[in-house]
Amino acid sequence: MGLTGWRLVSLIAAALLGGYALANSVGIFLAAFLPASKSDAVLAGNLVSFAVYVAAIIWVGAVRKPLRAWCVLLIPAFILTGLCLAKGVDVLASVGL
Amino acid sequence: MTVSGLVLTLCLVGVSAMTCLCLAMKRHAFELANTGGALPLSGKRLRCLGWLLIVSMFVFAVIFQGWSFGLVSALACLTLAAMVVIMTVTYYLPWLARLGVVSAILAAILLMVG
Amino acid sequence: MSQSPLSNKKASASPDGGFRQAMTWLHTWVGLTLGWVLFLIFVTGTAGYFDTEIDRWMQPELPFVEAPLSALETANVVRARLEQEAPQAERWYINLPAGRNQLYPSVFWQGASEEAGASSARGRLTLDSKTGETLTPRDTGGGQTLYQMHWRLHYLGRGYSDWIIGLATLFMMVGLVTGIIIHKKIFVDFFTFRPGKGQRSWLDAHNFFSVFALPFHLMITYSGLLFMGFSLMPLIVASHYGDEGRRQFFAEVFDPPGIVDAANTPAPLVPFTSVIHQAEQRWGQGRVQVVDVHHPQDASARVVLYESIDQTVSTSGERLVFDGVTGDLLHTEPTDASMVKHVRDVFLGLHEGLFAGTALRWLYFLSGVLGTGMVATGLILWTTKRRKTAERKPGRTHRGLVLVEKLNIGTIAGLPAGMATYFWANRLLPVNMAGRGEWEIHILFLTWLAMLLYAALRPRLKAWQELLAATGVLFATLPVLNALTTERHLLHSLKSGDWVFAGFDITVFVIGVGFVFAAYRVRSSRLSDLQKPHKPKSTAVKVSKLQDTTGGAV
Repeated sequence: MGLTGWRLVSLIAAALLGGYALANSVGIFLAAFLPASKSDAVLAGNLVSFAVYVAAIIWVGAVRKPLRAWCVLLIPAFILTGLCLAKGVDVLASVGL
Repeated sequence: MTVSGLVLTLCLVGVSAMTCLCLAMKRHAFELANTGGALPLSGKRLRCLGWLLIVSMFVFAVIFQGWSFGLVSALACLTLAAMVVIMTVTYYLPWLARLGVVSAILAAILLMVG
Repeated sequence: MSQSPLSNKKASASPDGGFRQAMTWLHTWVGLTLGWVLFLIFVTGTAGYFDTEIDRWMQPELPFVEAPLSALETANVVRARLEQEAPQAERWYINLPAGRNQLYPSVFWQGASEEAGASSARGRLTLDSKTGETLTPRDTGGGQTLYQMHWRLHYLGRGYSDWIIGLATLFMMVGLVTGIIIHKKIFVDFFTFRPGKGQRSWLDAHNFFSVFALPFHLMITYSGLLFMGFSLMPLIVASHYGDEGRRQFFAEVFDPPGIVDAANTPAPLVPFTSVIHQAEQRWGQGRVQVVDVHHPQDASARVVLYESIDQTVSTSGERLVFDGVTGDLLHTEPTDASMVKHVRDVFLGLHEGLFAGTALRWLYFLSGVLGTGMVATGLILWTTKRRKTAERKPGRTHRGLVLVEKLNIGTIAGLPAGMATYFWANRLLPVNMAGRGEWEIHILFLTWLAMLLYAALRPRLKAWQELLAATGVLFATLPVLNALTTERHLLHSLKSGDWVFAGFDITVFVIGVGFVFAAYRVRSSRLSDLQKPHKPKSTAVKVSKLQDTTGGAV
């Protein structure tokens, strides 16, 4: 359906990696901002992150435009991560930076 | 009533509910008519009856087993019931209406005994 | 094609085709990519609903469990054993026999002192509840290993298997949601099954398996993801607790309140009498499931009692924390102390179905069979569609199609054969053989491999027929094998009311007959196909017959 070669690879990567980035950043964001005890908020973030991941993959499958998919997934991921950093959550340490 | 008895009753109610819903559909009612069967109720009434039976099944399960167990039992029994009905529709269509009626009667007997 | 408002919006966003087409594309490829892993997950998971029953069949020397002793008597027997086996331990974890899920008491300890006479620093034993002796049945993988294959691909380390299983589960979830989106007439076609119509029939069967147990499929898949939650999404915990903070997070979420570090001052452990008595007054007789002793024989000892989970769908009941020296009740932790943890526990509990009694357990099993059928018909559907096109263009090679067909045959018919030989190995390998349990599993995988090779070498329909027949015979003759190699044959089991043994024998027999029937249907359609000249139409008939059979059997 018109998607071949690198565009297809890029789209799949957007779904799997971009979706993963968004799911994690939503999870970390919820864990930081939910009004609950720390362990509860982290657990809640974990439970919800999978719904985000699944939704992201399906959305990428519907859009079928690699560039657009990457942008729409990564921009909110960066914003949410930025908000967490601003609140003092050590997001970067968790990925070994 | 024992748990097994309850599950059996739920399955029987589920079978008659699913039979009603199935025969309420034009396609299956038409198929049945082709084999010479006739329906005592109109499609709309059958559909109402079917949903009523499903609701009563859930209410009954929840009363006996509480919310969590009740919902799980009712859903599981509905799955089994739907399987029985689809097998009957596909391979023993003339028996379908009878199946619905008989399972409703059996369920009623079980309720009275148990 | 009916278009929802949503699909209009998306359709304009993608010039390549409508929203539904895009979703079909996604559904097809997420389903196929890890489809065989999903088949393995569903088959072994379905068998896993009867894990302890399979355990019992695979260890026929273990006694038929009669009415168990009281919780207190058993706990005392086990405690006496632990005092010898694991003195000065950090923890004793005693699982008391409670219904179907735990037939014999089992213990686990860690941090015991070998200088003080412990047999090992950490260990795990299954005991006789009357004598406290170690039960030593034959070494076997049992139902547990079969069930663990479901989430831990046997030969791989957790690091790899969690990701593969997790990815497969994720694809399953995507497959379910896209499947709901693309199913045009979910209600109109609800009761429709049209056998003998080729691809149409396969699609009907696929819908049938998927739609009827849809609540089960959604629950089982999302909760499956949650089981892998901390492995798949480690960053959420790490960013809030630091890279090394996982243990602290787990302690905060899962440990009961009031656990303290060892004082390193010896003090006698309180007798279990009053502790268990208090718990049973609260929960009812025989409803103490676990006695979890932290720092036994230390001044800061804690005895935590876990309520049986037979009256909840959650994975955890109430917990009572007692002072291990004075026996005072320190904390009562309700099941929903943390709402979020409770939600997770309910999801996991529904997945495991440990709460289910006999009737509901069979319904769980049935739902699992439907899930297996969903995966199998999905995989076959992929090939029937392409086989039709391929036969219209003879002369071209269709490597992808042939590969998928061979993998389908070798897995859908071959993996169950592997499971049957697993049971055969259990009865035929010498009882004292070294590494016996491990070899049972090797045999399972070797059989599967052999089946894949066989499927690769034979013509397609012949391979289906022969493998299905072989699998059927292997299953159906298991009761005979059982009768020849043990004294607990079917008649004996029926007479003594041992429903676990009888149930196993009857179930494998029925499964076997199902497979043989499937093979028979493939055979008759293959023969009728041979008699006719090769017309495109005959493919459809042949394929649809095959569908009746495999669809019903797997």
